[in-house]
Amino acid sequence: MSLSDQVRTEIKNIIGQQDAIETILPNSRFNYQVSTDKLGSIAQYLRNSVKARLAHISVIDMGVDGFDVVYHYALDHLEKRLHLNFKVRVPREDPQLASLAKISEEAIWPEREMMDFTRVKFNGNPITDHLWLPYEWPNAVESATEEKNSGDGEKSVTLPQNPLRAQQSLILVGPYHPSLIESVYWRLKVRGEEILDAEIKLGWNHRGIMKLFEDKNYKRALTLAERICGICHISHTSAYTNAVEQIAGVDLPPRARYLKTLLNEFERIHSHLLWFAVAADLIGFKTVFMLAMKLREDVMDIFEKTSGHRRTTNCIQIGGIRFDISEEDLTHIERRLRHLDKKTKEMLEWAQDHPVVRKRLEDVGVLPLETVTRLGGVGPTARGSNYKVDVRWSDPFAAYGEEYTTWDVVLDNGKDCWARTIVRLKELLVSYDICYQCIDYLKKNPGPYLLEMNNIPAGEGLGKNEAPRGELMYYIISDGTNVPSSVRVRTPSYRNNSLLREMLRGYSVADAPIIIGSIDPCMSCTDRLARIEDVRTSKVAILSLKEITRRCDRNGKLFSN
Amino acid sequence: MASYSPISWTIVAFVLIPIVAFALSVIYAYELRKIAARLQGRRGPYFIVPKEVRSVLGTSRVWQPLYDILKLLYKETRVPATANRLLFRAAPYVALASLVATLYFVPIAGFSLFGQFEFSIVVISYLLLVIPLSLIVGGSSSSSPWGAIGAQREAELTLAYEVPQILGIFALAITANTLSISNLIEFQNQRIPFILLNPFAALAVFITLMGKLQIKPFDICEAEVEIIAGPATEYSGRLLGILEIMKTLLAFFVPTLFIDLFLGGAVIGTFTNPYYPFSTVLFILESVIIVLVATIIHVFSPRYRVDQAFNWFSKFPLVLGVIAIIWAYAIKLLGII
Repeated sequence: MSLSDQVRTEIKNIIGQQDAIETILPNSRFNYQVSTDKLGSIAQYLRNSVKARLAHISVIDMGVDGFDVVYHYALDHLEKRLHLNFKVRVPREDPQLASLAKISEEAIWPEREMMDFTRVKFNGNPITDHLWLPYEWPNAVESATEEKNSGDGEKSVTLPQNPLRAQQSLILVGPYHPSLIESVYWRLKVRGEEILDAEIKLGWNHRGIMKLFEDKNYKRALTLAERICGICHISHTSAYTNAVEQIAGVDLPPRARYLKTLLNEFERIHSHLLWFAVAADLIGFKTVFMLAMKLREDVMDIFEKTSGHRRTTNCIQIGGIRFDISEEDLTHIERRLRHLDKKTKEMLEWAQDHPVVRKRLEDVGVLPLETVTRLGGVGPTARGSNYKVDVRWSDPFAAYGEEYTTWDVVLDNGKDCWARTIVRLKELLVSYDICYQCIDYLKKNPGPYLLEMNNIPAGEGLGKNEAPRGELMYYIISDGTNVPSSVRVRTPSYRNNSLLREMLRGYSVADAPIIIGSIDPCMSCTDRLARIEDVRTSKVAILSLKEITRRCDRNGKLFSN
Repeated sequence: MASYSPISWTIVAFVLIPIVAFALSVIYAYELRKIAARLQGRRGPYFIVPKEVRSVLGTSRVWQPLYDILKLLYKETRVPATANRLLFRAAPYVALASLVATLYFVPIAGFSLFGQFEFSIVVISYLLLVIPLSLIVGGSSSSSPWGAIGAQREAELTLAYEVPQILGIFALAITANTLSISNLIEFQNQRIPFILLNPFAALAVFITLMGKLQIKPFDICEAEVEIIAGPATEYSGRLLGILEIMKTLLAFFVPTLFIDLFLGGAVIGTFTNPYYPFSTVLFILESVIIVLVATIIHVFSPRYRVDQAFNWFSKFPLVLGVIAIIWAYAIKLLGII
């Protein structure tokens, strides 16, 4: 009896045989309609007995019918392609649910996100601070009367400890800080140089892309998916097309499969080289930064040669690839890749031998396997702690399956920043190997590379892809029209960022950039708010910049008392 | 007793030494930037500007470090409202003044104003300590958390490298039985340079001088990805310009001190020797080589964390310093010199 049968029977038992409505989707995806009270026991079973991952929670506004809360459970690291979606319908008048945070801590971030953006309340979530919305935004969990009282846009909070007498101080990193290319806001509580606690704030540039998806047809939405991330555009379009192709039930022609794999691997190579450069800069190694960026130019040239663009290449289409790669180009690409291969091996040896590099990275930002599984880490971050999660291996698409290419998932047992570096560098070598296999096939087998697509039928699709940073997930619901009914995106950095708090504790401020950098965070940002702490009165006010300029007197004093 | 130059010559030299030193230090800073750029696969400031852009850039950009400083001097100076204004404004000037004062005690290609002074080594050691001290004061009075952390790091690092440096320098004083830097040069010219006689001291002092110069892996106090610019975070305009002048002058001072202490001061004979003028050429050549070595260290190493640097300094150079002292005694006891 396979794991999927076992799990399905057990879940039917929990729900009740006659109530269980199971929808079987292609690629071993199973949907269940669940009532609110059964959810806790299902989560307990999946968490404790099966060791499933709670990949994401999405909330879909169904209009007068209420909200659909979908719990996406990924079991693909246990059995290939196995995913379970549990749908709970909550009424519009009183959208309340019990939080799953006590059962699986992975739920904390998605629940906070959903509380920020929809009216659904998850009772019992341990952290009630806003994750995306500004801190002073009226809290969704608070009652309506409280909102009215504090509705003037300013909220004063008394600090738990007077900073003048405090043994520890607060260091604000970001939204603009030289160590972070994109901005994110960190509050590090430090004593001397030791970090005691860390808190992250997101939402500096929330663009509402998931809402924008709902006004664009499938082909135009592709362009939108490409623009979510500046670095991994092919990963996003691949995951999106995977989901749409799943709904349409099409099978890609073999040449398109290999081309898609090749392009995805190019992206991994360029992204890992970029990460390597940035990581070197974070420990003050400018030379390696320059050399790795120079190497990355090879991949950028390949992108330019094949698609005409260095970034945002718009190459992945629904049902295949927009263009073919000629044999001469393939030969040229292979030559460039061989060069990169040689240089990467040199770099790996060089990094392994350098005493100062080892000293800065070893035993820094240790992430035990237990923490990764508890908080749901993905990608090279998880693989550096010996957690085997890799979408290419567990949910193979395009030409990643065993029947097309042969390769191994890179794992390391080091658990520290050094292990994550080694995992990424070795993954580069694996990527070159996959590329050679693809090029070998593409040279010999011409054929069609783009399918003619008809209407997308009604249905649901859960498309996944292993982005350079980890597992990327698209959940698309189609209602049979040419516009998707709803699209939900779960990016890999979303999961990995929630690990950072555990990683930063106990290390020094000097280690903070490389620890934050070691998960390869990817965020977007603009600053519209300022946080001001007055040491004398221990009051904290959060105001808009306009408000500050208006209220400050000529001496720049904000708190006049 | 030491003999000093006549008063008129002293006054001229008093003005001339800082100017010449600064001019040379700009060239050394250019060398550091250019070679680092070439090793990193970049171009760096042009040595000879291509014809097409010569109308804009001029014929050479050797003075690029100077232009960068001049730009800062033109700019507006802002002082944070919460800073201690007096200490904040005074710190860069004190640092620069102490470094310029040190220059009068260090013989440059055999010529020096007060190098003959009996305790010039002691004076140099003291004045050198003023630079990190004033940076610490400036950083911690800026009321910025980055400045405070930078100052703390500066203090830890200074504690780490100061001891081996003093040990290394005074090992020479023990051997030559003098505390005057001019006498040390004389000693080396009559016998052999100290780099051969006491290589342990040479290595200890060289490493600690690299710490003083704040090149990688010891640029912990101004680690830009961690603490913005450390003590200099809140500095701007003229005050930052003064700090930059001080840092550039260090690029001249460090090789000069090393040449004086270990390479015989690059002096050929005495003033009356016909080959004496060539000692200036030799001096510049040796300085350029020392800057080149520093550049290579800078380019091929990442940054230490402050506790790692402290441990490293108290292991390797400190042991070298102690060995240098023992070696100096051994030489004396065995009567080699």
